[in-house]
Amino acid sequence: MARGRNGLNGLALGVLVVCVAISGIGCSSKKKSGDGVYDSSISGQGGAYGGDSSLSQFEQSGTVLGATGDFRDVPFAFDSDQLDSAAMDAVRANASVLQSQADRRVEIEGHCDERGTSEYNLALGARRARAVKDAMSGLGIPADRMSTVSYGEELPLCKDTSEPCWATNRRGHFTDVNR
Amino acid sequence: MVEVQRRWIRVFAVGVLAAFMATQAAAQVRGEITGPGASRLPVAVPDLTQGAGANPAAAAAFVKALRADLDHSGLFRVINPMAYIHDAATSGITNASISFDNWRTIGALGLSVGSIEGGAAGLAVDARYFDVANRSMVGGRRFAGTAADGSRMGHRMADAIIEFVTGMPGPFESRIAFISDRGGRFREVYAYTFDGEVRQITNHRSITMSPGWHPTSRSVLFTSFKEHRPMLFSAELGSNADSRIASKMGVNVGASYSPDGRKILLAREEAGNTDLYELDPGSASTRRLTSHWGIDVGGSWSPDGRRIAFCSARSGTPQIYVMSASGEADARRLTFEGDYNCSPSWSPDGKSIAFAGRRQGAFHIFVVPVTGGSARQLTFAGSNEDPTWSPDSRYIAFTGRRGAQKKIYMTDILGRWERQLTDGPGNDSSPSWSRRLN
Repeated sequence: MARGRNGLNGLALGVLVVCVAISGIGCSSKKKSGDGVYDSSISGQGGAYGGDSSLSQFEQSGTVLGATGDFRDVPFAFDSDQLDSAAMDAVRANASVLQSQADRRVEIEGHCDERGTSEYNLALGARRARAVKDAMSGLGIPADRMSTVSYGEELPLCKDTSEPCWATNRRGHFTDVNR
Repeated sequence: MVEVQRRWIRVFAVGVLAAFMATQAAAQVRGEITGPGASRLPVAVPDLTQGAGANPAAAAAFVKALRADLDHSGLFRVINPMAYIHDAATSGITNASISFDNWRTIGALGLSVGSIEGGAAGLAVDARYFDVANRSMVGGRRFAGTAADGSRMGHRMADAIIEFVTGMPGPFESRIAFISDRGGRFREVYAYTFDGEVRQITNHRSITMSPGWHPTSRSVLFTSFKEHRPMLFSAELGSNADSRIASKMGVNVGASYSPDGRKILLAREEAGNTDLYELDPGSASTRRLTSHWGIDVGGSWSPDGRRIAFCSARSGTPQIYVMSASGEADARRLTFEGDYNCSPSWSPDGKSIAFAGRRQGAFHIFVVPVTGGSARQLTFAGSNEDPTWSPDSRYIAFTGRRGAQKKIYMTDILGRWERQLTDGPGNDSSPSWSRRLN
């Protein structure tokens, strides 16, 4: 899997991104009470997210990062948003990172392989991200430390038409959210 | 083939007419020139006669567009201009001045001639379509415009000739919006015209998806990740601006306009669930249409605005459903074969729904009657998605992958032939076919 250009995880990059949505200023995002999912009526600069989000990486360099740094990608079966035992292992690992670093916030990205229509996959990616977030909540991570986004099939890690490639693309991917 | 039996009555009538035409060299065929055994109508399209102040480039663009469209319609066969016994400089465009025998000799049954001269606005074209056997004019059109309009006039004449011969105008004065990364890594919205030209519409430097035309064809709705989450935007053609459609709908998973252009049907994702909503962009009021826990996406309105086809996983796998435009209470499942049928598109004539269905791992374009029944498969090669109907309901454009890259293709609705529309670098996908531009 590709690493970032400078070999560091995206946190250094993320610090440089100017976005103050968490404090509620400027990016017009609101938190829903008790949920922590950023309100869907986001406007302006698009909410808090780090420079290491898959979209930011793609926009800046054309590459999409696999799991880097502390978090593991959560795998999914084809057409599914269920978390099997391998997926729960990854969820548990990621949860323990967040448990040990109480001020760390993440965005969970839902991704799909290229099979299926792009709109349906955008919706499926959202279900995957949500499923991961719910599992993390179940392990005690506060919901307001996690946001979700779906990229559907738009940001694959690899582009071969093979099952191993498709399997790596079906993922819940964690990125750091800057403060 | 099933469609032979369905169309038997109409084919029989057309066959009788065609036989009559062949033996009697009688007037043009009315109705659809479709069905097995029907052949293309041979036509001749000589160069325009150039009058005072004519623009030769516009004249050439006119006939080039006209010849290409008539051939590509699948309804006509344009006889090679090298075979014409014709002198554009001296031949006329009236019954009296056309040498019909010259055209009969080379096998033409239809003839399109015309004159072009400099008009007040720039150029004027008088184009006429003749029945060679009957030696009579079937119809004509007069066009006025600037020198840059030559090709568009040619498309409009092609649509008119198709109307003269079949009763329904052709689709070629229209545009197809689509998504492409031909410019680099970013996926932007582009528009294709039947000149084969492609114009870039957006410059979001991100990822865009799901373009959908406004019924006036003057603006395009699309989803963009420019603001990190997929949101709904609208771009006006002819201006460099586009703007986000403000609403409380938030995360957007595809949207389309109602047939009257007043409402937007969109799929909205919230807390992991995606459902269909109707948005009034003028008042920003919204109405929820589905609330099933399963994924609901890809809404397509019927042309009378009363019903909506959509893709839903409510029965466990993605399938096509039809509901009334007011909501899902009466949702009726339309597809029962295959484990993945999605991306419905309702034909402009209201009769059929095209969709992408997965069979043995590959996606193909299918058409099913709105009333239900078996779906007819239109593509058999590669993998194909995102069907969109031509304005005359005769053709479907779609995303086709035949090798490494995706391109936009067009097929007739019987699936007898298909043609690649876009070429060049990168991947082209997600076409949306506009209405006719006139």
